[in-house]
Amino acid sequence: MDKPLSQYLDLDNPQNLDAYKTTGGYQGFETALNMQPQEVQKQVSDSQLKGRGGAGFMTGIKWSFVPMGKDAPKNKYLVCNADEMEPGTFKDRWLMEGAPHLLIEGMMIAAYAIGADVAYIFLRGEYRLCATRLQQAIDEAEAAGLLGNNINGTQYSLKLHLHTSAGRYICGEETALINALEGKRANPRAKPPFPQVVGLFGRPTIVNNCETLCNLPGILKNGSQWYAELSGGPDAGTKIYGISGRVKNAGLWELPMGTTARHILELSGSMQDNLTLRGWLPGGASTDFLLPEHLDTRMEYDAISKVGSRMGTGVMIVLDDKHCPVGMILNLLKFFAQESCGWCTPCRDGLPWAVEILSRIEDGQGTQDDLDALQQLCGFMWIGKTFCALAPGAVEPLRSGMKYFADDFQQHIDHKGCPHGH
Amino acid sequence: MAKIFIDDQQYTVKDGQNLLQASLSLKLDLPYFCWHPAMGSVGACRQCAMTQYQDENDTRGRMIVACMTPVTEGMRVSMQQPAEKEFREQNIAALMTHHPHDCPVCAEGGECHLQDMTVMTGHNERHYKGKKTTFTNQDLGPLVKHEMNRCITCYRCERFYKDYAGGTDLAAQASRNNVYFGRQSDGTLESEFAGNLVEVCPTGVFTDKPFGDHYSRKWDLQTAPSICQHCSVGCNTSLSERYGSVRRVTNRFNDHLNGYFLCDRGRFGFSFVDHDTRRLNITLDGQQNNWADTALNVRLKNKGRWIGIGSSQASLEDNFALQQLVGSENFNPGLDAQQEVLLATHMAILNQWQAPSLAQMEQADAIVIFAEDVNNSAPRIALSIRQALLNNAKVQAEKLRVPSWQDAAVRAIQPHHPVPLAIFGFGESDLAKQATINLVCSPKQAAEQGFLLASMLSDRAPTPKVSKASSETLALLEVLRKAKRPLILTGWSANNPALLAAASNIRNALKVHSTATENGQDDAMLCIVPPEANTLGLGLLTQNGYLSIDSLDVENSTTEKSNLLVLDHCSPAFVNRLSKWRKCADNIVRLSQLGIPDADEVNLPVSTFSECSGSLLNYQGLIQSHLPATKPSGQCMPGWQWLVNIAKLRQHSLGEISDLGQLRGLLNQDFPQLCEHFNQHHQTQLALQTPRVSGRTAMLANQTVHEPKPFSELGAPYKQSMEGTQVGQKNEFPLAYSWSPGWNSNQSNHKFRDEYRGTELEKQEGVRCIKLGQSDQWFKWQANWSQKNKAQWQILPLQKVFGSDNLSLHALPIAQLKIQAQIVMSPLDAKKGGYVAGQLLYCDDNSTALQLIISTQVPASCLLIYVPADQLFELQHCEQLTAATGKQIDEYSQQIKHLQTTQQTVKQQHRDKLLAQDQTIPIHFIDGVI
Repeated sequence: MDKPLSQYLDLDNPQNLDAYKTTGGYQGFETALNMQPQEVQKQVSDSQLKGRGGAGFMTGIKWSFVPMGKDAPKNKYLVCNADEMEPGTFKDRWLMEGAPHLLIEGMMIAAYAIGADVAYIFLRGEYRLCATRLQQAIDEAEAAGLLGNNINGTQYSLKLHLHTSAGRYICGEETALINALEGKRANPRAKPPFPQVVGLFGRPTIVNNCETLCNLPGILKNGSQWYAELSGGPDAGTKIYGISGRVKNAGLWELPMGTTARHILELSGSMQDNLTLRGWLPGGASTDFLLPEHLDTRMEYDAISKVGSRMGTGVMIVLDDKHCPVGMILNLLKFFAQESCGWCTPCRDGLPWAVEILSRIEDGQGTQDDLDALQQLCGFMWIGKTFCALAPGAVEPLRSGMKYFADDFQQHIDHKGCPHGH
Repeated sequence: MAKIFIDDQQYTVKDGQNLLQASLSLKLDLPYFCWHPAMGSVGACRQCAMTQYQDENDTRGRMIVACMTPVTEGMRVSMQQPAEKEFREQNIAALMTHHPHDCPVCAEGGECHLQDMTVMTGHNERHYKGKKTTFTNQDLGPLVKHEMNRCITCYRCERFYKDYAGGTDLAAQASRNNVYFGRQSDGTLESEFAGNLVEVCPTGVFTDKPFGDHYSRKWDLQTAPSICQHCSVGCNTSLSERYGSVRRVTNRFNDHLNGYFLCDRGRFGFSFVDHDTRRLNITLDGQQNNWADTALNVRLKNKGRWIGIGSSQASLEDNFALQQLVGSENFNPGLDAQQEVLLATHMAILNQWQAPSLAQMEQADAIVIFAEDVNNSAPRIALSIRQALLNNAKVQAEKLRVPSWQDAAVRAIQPHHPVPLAIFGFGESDLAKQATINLVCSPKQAAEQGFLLASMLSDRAPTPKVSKASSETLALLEVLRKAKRPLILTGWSANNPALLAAASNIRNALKVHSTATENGQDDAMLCIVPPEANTLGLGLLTQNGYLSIDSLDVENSTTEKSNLLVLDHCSPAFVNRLSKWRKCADNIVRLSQLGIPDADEVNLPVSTFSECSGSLLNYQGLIQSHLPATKPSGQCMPGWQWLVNIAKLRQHSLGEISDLGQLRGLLNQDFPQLCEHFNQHHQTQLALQTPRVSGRTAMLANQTVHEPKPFSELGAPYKQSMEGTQVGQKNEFPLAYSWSPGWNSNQSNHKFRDEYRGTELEKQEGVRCIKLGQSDQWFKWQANWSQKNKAQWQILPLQKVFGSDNLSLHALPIAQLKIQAQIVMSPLDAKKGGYVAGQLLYCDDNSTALQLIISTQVPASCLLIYVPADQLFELQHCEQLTAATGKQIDEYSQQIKHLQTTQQTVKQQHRDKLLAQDQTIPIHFIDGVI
């Protein structure tokens, strides 16, 4: 099976420029450079590549809103969203540490396709090793004339900067990321205007997830048809899937889009001894719980949403029967309450309220009214009521958890304590 | 217009608005926090949630926030369905999780938008059981008090302070439910608009500190519509009183002038009315006296020649009465020689061009300022110009189909679509920082370039002596050729009539230029900023001749001894002039608000603006009248009343006047254009108190049980009453205060206004006193404008918000912020002379110690000198600068320290005095009680 991403991967000793090139690296970019930017956009559109950050939006369509041609503003920006802060997700780190040149080539292709002359990698600050390796790769590429002015003797010039984030979960939201990159508070911006039109420093900007960008070299090298055929299902290409929690071997695997969750769980060697699977979050902490009965669902955007959750980042978190679901949800919500940017009321004041209630329930101080209040808070922070997607994502494990693990909540109230002994 | 359906009711609303704006304009009660009519939408608080439906068959709909949703033809929304109502209540509940229950001791109580909105949503029971977040408060200086625990994180303060007003020292800090709005550390807020935080904050985080020291609930305040006295803009204010003392000034909405905001000089400068040097008694030769005294009468009946000296600090009525009493040939406006030229030039220009309102200036698409530091001379204008800088970004936003009220989006676009702002002149200011074209030059050079510019725009314009246009001038030429609504602004600050002439010629040239263009539309604007609140009132009165200062000087020294009748003046420069005349005058009679009377004069105490009606002409020549909030203190009377009484003694016809109405009748005869203003609301009742006022009948119960009658001035256009016209009943009435049932805060504005200050501007109401005449007068360059002085240094005057206005320096909060004398020079000159920033310098043998600031915004061989308005400094040139000696430096710092400690004591004493006064109000305070 083709593994267009992980084929370059070497975590201990990542490929340098030469090694990357000898294994086919930068061929995609060279192909792109011989095409018109719009042709590159079309090829990516045809490949059906969807954004790997969580929302699954078609990359080609996203790019198509960028003003092109002579009348377009002079500066345009490409930003790689590598602020991987979703709890339980570590796929971008894997790619950046193991194959830094892959990301850089992907960014060069994307930047060329939208006519950007400056690109930024917005990297999670804690990813120190990524930062070192990416900077090395950037330096190598610059020295080799792959970045800079008149690349390969063409009219095209690109400057690439690495920016390490000061650290906020909200920076994963593309407009908050743009504000942070401008040196402002990391609050999301209202849309419209979309960043494609008014983005970084008021200029047209594309923000793509790291994994998304890593898919581009393969698409350009091997064509959109090849890419679409990598998976058997409606979502094209391969995906870095992964799993964490009390499984035998937590980890990441590049698999065709649409691999079932059960297959991923099996790859990890299944649950640890004496533990049974109670539920799982398909793609990070901000997705709804699913149950063991959903394990045969294909990990695809539509299929996962049909069973009531979201594909998210595609890196699963499992809950076993020895852990308290209430405790797990509380832990997640504490994170989200902590990471609220403080801009809109439901998120800023609603999440700490939910944390306060859950803490009391977990401590055995909860009342029946608290459960109603929690239900209400789930509605209060739901889609359409908040400024951005942080709070609705944050309540996804809560509202699904209250549905699937209602007994556990009730036991906390009835027995004035955690039935799991926490 | 668009048809929309709210709760299945059909309404017609204006296009281009957002749904919140539209709903409020329809007088529907929809709660909100982060939105502000002047600051647009950002969608942070989510309080204005509504449900939008696709069509009439859609029963579910989706939740939206009204402030972020543009109205569209046929849109269907609901405001009163359970979904959105529950959400709004829950949103308040969430906001209130950390809000303290300190309403009884909160200065905002009774006029708190948060209280109003909480009641409106029906949230009345607390469910949150956790601990509240607590914060440390900061000392933000003498004007604004900080109580962060009350914050509901609506971001309005930051958006006003940073984005709207350009302040740099207050911002949102930290994140989640721990966001903190304040400075990096304790310290006085730097922006001259900081006081607006009090009104911008929907709850009690930022409150009025001086008001808090002598506090009253809003519902107990009696509030009069007033006009600010501290610059020439004429901002509309509400002046509030309790127990006979003025408590505070708040913004009184005027869509063309101040809009929703005042500067701090205007908001906190009023308390000069309580200053220690306030004149409360008649004095004769320094001794307290009374009206019936024979000696006094003899002095007032003196048969010699009487010369009247008017004042731009006194009302039109006072100056007019003086002019009537002495005759216009004996009426001197009280200006210096250069100011008389400036006034004549200014009047000639106003005869030709109407000055734009602030709201009109906010629509400018190119701005040029000639040597006027409007940030300091008329701050409210600078704030409007700041808003105009967003206009091109708004146009661009509309092109991107983003409504111009999407504040964050417009500001994101702004850097790439700036509105050209050219500054020809000197001095650092907020606007100078925003300038796209900046020529640092002397006023004379600015005027020369202005003349050149005019001649390049139109060959009919006269040229100055110089012919070399600077590159900045050429750049500006291109800007002005393209601009649709350019604004040219200059003023009196630089004391140079050539600037006014240059600005007028450019305006004229733009008219010629635009008639040659395709649509021939001429929307250029010309604004000239005079120094004082009623400078143009003097202009109106002196149009047909006056006694100039030069003739006054000559006559005083040559002819027989005369009597001087002097209206209110307290500037050291005037006092200095008067002391020269004093030697030659037989008799001096002064009508004063402030100051220590001299040993050889009759001093009659006059009512301040807070104690009587009066009218002022603002920079546009627009007449505006203020009403009294309290009765006159002590023996005070309005200036005109004293003059009428003197006329009676002297059997002058002015003595036949018996009230203000009759005096205004006389004014109407001379200036028929004033009729419309003075007769507009004759004898209508105007409510000065909200219907909720409490304790009214008990106020004097320790002295009398009779029901006191609210006092009104005889002949005043309004009868001040308890009932009378309430807000919102009639559009054309001025509002004493802002209040509407359920809307106790100043956010109630929308209840009595149809439209928000927006893109479509209604015509400015009111009477412009200066009539338009001929329209193609060109000013020629005058030889004396080119005169050179050979002195080493040319001194250019510099202004400061807190320091250049003499009246407000008598208000303690402003005095505490007074900036000490400064001298500013260019880095090159400083280097040459070996001067270091911060050192103390003296000019020639002048005794004023000046602290040195080094700035690139100073032309070579020039010194910018600022000296507080309560100190005398009359140098225009300087040969030598001397550094202060060690002893002088010590003395200086001692002096400053002493000043600060005295201020603290004075503040405490003042407060104690006022509080004591509250306990024993003088019984004459209210009419109808004997």
